[in-house]
Amino acid sequence: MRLLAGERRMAVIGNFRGRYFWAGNAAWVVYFVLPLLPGWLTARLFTELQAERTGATFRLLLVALLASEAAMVVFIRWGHRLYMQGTQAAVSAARANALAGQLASGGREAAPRQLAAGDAVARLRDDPVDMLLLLDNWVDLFGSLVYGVGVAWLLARIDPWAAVAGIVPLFVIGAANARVGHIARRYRQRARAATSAVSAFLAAAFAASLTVKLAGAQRDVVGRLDRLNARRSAAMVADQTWEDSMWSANGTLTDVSVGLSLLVAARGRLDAGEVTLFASYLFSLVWLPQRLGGLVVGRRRYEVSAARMAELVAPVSDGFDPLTQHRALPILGGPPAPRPSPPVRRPLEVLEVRGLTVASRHLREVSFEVRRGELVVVAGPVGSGKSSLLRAVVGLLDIDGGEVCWNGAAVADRAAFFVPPQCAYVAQVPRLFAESLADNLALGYRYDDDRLLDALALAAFDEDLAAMPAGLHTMIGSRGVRLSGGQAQRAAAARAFVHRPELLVLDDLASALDVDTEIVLWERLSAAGCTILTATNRPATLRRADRVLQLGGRGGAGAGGAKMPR
Amino acid sequence: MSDTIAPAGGPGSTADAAAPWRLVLGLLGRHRAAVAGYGALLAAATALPLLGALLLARFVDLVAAGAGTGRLIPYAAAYAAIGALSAAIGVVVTWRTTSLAWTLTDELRRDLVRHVLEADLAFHRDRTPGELVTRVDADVTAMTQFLSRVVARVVAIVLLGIGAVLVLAFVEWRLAPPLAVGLALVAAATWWQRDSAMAPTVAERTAEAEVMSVGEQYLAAAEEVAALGAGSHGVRRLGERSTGLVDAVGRRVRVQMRVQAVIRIAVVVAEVLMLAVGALLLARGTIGVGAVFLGFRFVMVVRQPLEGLIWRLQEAQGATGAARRVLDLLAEWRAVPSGTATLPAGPLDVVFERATLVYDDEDGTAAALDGLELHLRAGRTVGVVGRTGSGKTSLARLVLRLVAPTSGSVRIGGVATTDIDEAALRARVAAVPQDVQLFPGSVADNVTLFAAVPDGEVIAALRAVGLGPWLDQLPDGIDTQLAAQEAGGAAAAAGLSAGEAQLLALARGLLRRPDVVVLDEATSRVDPHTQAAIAAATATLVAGRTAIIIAHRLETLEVCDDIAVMAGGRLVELGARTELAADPASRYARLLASAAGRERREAS
Repeated sequence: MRLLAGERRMAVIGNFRGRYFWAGNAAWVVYFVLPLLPGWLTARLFTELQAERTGATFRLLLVALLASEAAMVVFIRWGHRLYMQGTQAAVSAARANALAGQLASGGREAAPRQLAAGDAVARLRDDPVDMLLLLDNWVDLFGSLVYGVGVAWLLARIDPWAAVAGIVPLFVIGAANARVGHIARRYRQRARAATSAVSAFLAAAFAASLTVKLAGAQRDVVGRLDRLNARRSAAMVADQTWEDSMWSANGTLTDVSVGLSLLVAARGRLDAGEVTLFASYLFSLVWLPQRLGGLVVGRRRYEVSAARMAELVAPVSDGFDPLTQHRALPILGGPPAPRPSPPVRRPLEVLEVRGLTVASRHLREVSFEVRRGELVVVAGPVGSGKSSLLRAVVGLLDIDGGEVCWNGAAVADRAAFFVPPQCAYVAQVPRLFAESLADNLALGYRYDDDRLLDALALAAFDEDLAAMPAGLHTMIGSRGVRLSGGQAQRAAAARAFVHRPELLVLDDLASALDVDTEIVLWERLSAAGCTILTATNRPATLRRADRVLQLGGRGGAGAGGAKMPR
Repeated sequence: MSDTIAPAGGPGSTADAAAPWRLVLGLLGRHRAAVAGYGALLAAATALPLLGALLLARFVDLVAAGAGTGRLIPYAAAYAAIGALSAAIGVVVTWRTTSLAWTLTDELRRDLVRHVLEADLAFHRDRTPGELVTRVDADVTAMTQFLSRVVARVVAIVLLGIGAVLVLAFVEWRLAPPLAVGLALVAAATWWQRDSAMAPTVAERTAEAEVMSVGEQYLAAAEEVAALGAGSHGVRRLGERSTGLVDAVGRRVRVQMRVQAVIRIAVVVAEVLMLAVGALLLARGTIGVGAVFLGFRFVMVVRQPLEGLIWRLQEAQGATGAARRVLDLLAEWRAVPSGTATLPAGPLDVVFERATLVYDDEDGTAAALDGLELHLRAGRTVGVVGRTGSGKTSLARLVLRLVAPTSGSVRIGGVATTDIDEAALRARVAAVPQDVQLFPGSVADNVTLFAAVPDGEVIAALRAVGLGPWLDQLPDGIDTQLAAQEAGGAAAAAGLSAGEAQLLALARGLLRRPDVVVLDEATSRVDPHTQAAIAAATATLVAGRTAIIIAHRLETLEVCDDIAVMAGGRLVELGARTELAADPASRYARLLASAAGRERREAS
């Protein structure tokens, strides 16, 4: 592994809005060093006091102390804003990259989708922040080091041996900190895992809240939550207490070194100002070992978070690090983010699936074909792999064997190929977004209202639309109209139809529709001449099918391409 | 949405700064003993730094008087010992603080979850589960941090300040007034600025919640978005919200740093005041340099923890927003209230008497149910049919008391649903929904919804609904863990297809042995291949019970004794299924005929 690999990655992310990020971090380094001045002024004040000089010089020093502190306050007010905005921009860039990995249709950016949404959201929220803290730890340490050198120089001018006696133990403390860092990592990991468990459970409980209420199961569900909460709170307390013990131990040892250097210095004759200088400077040197310790903790934390984020993005390959990419985002005056750009349309003649095998889903050697204008139905009992077959064909599921050919040519990256205008897929339980109906349909593609209205009509949504006062601009979801299951399914169908794709892949599209609506839908699709691959067992659909692919039960997937007469 | 109770203030409105403190006091009240012990600990933790400052001042006096190393060693050693002790107590303080904070806020979490799980339809229509997770987890965690990092520190600093003035009054009373004045100035500055960053902090939290809401929605729909090649749209949405967040952070920091500036300048003024007064008294010869040093050190003793605190002040402000949202959520009560009546033993009938239901959130005034008159006899199974919008689902909601009738009444076993005790109602009336949600937990947990039920019963219920073969191939049987995935495509990843998830929901219903069952499109995703098993399971579930089955597909209704045909929120036909089917003039027979005819046409 390369030296400081994590730091380099974070610096690349920090560069996303580098002017803010680096100016802000530089301001912090300066800010750490600035206290040398008020410290020195305070010491001078006490030297004057001990000599019982309280005249003009004393007053001047007093004013200078006030002014220097005020200047620091003003300086960091400017610097901290740059730092926070630059850091937040970098966090946002990392989040966008992780989301892009999860949403990618094939290509090198595409990441496995293996986590529950709740877990993934928790990672998106917390882990980029924790990763970037690594650079903070370095900035803190660097600032403290520069400050420490200044202090050492000032103290050594008074009494070199006292300075040594005060500073050397600090390095011992720093080394000790480094040795116990792994314990911090363990505590942090446990706290994180326990937190994720709570979040995932809450998300499920709230999604199922009506089920829980109707079952009167609130008490039992809360009981399970209590157990998860207890585990999390124990982990958090342990994590926090350990972190604090590290800091406290450092503080104590710093007190000891103050005592030690005062004793050494007392050999000669110190004046009150010099005692002040020793006490106050060494007091602020307490930060040095603590920040060394902080860096150790921070590097561990970085590793934990980096590992968690790595599960959201594609693996690093050939120097391409998906998490650190700089993409167009409007943050802090950047360019607007791009819209989806559809590939060139490649008219479908025939889609052939040959020997497709997904062992984990009981699909073995499945072969069939779909010709232009046909309706091909995949039927079979629950668990026979109907949905999995469709997902495998369009590249949402990895396959263990076989191939999918478009007009005779095998498709290498199915996920990248099977997108509009080639193909559009509708999931069995589709999800819409808390955006307007138009935005839900277009998903960023540039289509005019007529095209959206056509798609809605094709999906038999026209009557529902007529009942919506704001029409296409009706807000959907938590802040607008909540659609019924059937409406959501038809809106999602329209979202696919809007692309007029060469191939429609529909997973049990009519499951929430009444028979009348279902028939209207198929008639319209048929009139539009669509090529369709669908999974369903509904007789109305099966009777219209040009071919039916019958999947067997669990364990034995007989995959004949039984052809039905039209 | 006229039925939503307006929250006490939107984001960024004139927020209630006392909200978190009120909430905190309420939580603390439940644990008086723990809080008292904690107070004693804090007092000890406060005394030590003051003692350390005293020793250091004595050291300065001794050095100024030219004392030798021999006389200085005890002071230096004592100083180091106090440092060590202080650190040890500090760790104990942290431990007690965090565990107290988590204990208190876990109770708040459980109250909130209970509250949310009691709420009904209208409440959930307005929020996504993700939003609620943010309230219950992120916002309450902000409260936890507030308690453990801010409240504890504020108390410690106030104790330190008071202690410093008292000690100085004994040691060198002439310097106590300037110290008191200086610290009072710091306190006043902090008090003055305490709320200024609140509005921008609340705005920042709102902006962050929006970022996460976009993230959650698109992550949950990741497969569909990817399959539609629309990933960049999701990223664009996240980018737009992130831009808002970065701007909100900038505004918050600007205000936050102004607050800090005011407080820190007050501290420096307190230092300068101490030095100036000390210099005056020193010039008159009334006090020595050690006393001035002590006064100065005491300001520093307060300054050090205060420096830490001012960076945490924004957490207090974040907590203020969080606490207000939590209080709003607790104040918002939109469930049909529980009655007190119990239900008679034995099978129950269901009677609709001129039941009218108008959803008060819709723009249209058309009633979802319009004076529905219907008597469902005890122990019989009725199939409810009708087009979308005919009132089938509203009928089910009324029976389940997810809504109360706008006028008229619904009686179960002779008792109006609005009068029935919640526990009694839920124990006797079960629902099997269309969309099935799975929990992260074992198969058994998902069937029993975490209730303690003997394994044998769980297994029997699963076999009864036809999930036997599925159960047999699970590695750990009913103890197999299911991942936290929702039903649908993602359920496949949890080893459970959508159809299987629906069977599991039937098993949930079966296990509860209810007297009234409502199946709302509960078997719509079950295919013909398991139809026989499902029909048997449904027959078992409805046998001897009053059952309402809502279905689009007429073949699902073969288990029914009676058929009710709905149109326009009214009952237009009710009769025994076989009689209606045999009577060609009945609406049901016409529906059957048209469905069959359509299928024939399709087939030809």
